[in-house]
Amino acid sequence: MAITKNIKISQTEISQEIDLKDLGFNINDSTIKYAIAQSFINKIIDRTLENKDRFGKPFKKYSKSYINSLDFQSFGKSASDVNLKLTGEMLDSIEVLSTIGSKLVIGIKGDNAAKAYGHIKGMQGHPTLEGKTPIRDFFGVTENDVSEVKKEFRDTSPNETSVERSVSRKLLDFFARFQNESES
Amino acid sequence: MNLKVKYNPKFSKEINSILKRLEKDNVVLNEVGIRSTDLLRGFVKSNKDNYKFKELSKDTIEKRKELSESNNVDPAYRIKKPLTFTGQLLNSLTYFIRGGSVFLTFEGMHEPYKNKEGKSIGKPQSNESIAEGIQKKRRFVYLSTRLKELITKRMVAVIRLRFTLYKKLL
Repeated sequence: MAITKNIKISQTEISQEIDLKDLGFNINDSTIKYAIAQSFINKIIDRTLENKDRFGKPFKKYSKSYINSLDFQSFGKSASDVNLKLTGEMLDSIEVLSTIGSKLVIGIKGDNAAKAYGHIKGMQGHPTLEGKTPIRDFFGVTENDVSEVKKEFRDTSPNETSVERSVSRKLLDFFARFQNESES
Repeated sequence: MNLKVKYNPKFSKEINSILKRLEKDNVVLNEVGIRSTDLLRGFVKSNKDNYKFKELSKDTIEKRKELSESNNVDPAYRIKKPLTFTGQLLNSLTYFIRGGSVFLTFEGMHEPYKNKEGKSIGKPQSNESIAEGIQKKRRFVYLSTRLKELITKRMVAVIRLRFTLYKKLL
């Protein structure tokens, strides 16, 4: 599987295209695709909050100067909890960017893409921080994530057999649409 | 704070029912409370954006400098920056949920500062009353546009997560 090859890293967009068909998912239902995409996002966020990069390795420690900074002290961060979270905005910005056919794209666009780029590339191109900040490559769905998400959704059937399932579909559909409309 | 959403009118009944449920969803409301207090506290302590206040007067700076030797100061204490000294006030910022709304409040008592001899200067006061007094001079208990944006983003992320979990449970 070449899932990790489809990661796009730029200062304006951090994204990953995932072809569900290639990964063995047989799903045509757009609401379920959206739920799967959200599950992938949750994997990235959970792993980051556990202080691990996308390869499962612990993030490099924060620098002393950052630990002593007013921002760090004001937001009650802990030196031992390297979770890339100050206001939480960057991680909250990971979204389902599109679900077309069997492909879905998750990622970050806009201002927070630049912030994420800085973490992933170790502030490459930054006038003062390049070479001083370690790479913390947090973004990307791994093959292990795919296996876990597959297990979570293995019982998912496209048949609507209950009112609850119908409501759930509408909920997800609503959010898929809400996202598309807010982007347009 | 309002969350504006657009949706297809044919789903209005279901969507209204969902939004009504969300109003009572304690996971979402708690997350709003936690994030609101964390962010407001963080922004005020770090003197960020709309919460950037005028530097303290020379007299106050001198007084705090002296008191800093006999009191435990907050890690975010900076000599010229207002609203953070021991951190008691901002650290007492909390929230409660009532009727589908999140309210911010200050809990507990503010211990008086100690002088060089270790004696208390004045009496304990409620953090709530101190906050009310400060608010008249330096309005700091409110959510700026930037904070609302961050909290809304968080809310949307939590709601999405809730729906994903919901889907898995079916």
